[in-house]
Amino acid sequence: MKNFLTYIAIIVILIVSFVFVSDFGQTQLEVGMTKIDSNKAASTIASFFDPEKYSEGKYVIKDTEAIEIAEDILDGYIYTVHIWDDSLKHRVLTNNNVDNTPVWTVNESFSYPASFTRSDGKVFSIKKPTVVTEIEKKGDYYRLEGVDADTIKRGSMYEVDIRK
Amino acid sequence: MKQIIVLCACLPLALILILQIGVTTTNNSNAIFVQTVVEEAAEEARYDGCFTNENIDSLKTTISEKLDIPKEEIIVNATGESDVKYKSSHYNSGNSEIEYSITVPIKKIIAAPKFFGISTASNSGIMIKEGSILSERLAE
Repeated sequence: MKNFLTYIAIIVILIVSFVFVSDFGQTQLEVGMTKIDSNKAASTIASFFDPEKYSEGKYVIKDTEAIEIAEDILDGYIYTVHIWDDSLKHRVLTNNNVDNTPVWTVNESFSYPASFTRSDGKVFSIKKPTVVTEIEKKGDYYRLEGVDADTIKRGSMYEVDIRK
Repeated sequence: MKQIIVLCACLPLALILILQIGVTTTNNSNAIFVQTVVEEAAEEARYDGCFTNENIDSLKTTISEKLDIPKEEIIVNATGESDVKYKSSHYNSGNSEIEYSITVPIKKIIAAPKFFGISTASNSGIMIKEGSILSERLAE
């Protein structure tokens, strides 16, 4: 009986290990997808600029396009998008509110180089037109009780290097 | 005798589970690898305005060498050189989206298929990575 229980215990441990390994792999894929979407949103928002301002030598990102892109690419995420450009207005677009609708929460003047503190506390210096995305997704990624990793967070910074 | 019977019943199950953990880990890491390689190819396509033949061939070669799969079994359906996309001034204005779908076969899903009576054909599958990206190529 003792041996039987020992073998059963080994099998249970192996099943638990298998479930964890399987969930971990799927979560890593989800993490990868989140990072890809974050990169894609940052680079796409940065690539739509106002041509009239550009003819004056200023790189100004279009706010209307930014909302459309965020709603499209970052659908299903809680996101915050920071934009610094030659309008010298730091804007923040987020859907981190009750009904998850995108709203501009910050519109403040700045000058280069600006300082930006990411949500995890890391500080960056903004020296050129830049888009920063911070996104998160919640889900039941692990089936095992006691594994509480239910949030994936990723971010991207896209700098527009147009000045030679 | 009793102990041998218990061992005979439990040992195969334990061994299969150990092997299955290995197979699942391999499949997951392969999926992550394919995801990374496809995204790199998509970024390159973004600047070319399409998936060039060279880009597709390089993508297939990389996946083929790493996953030990013949290149012919990797299927790439993507916006190609005959339909180059250009950057537009408005998002979703239509003709700047490069689409792609890459299908890669998975050779083994269950570690010991014969033990469960699963044929080799049933024990294989495919993974599909698909998406779209906006072209950055400027019209000449």
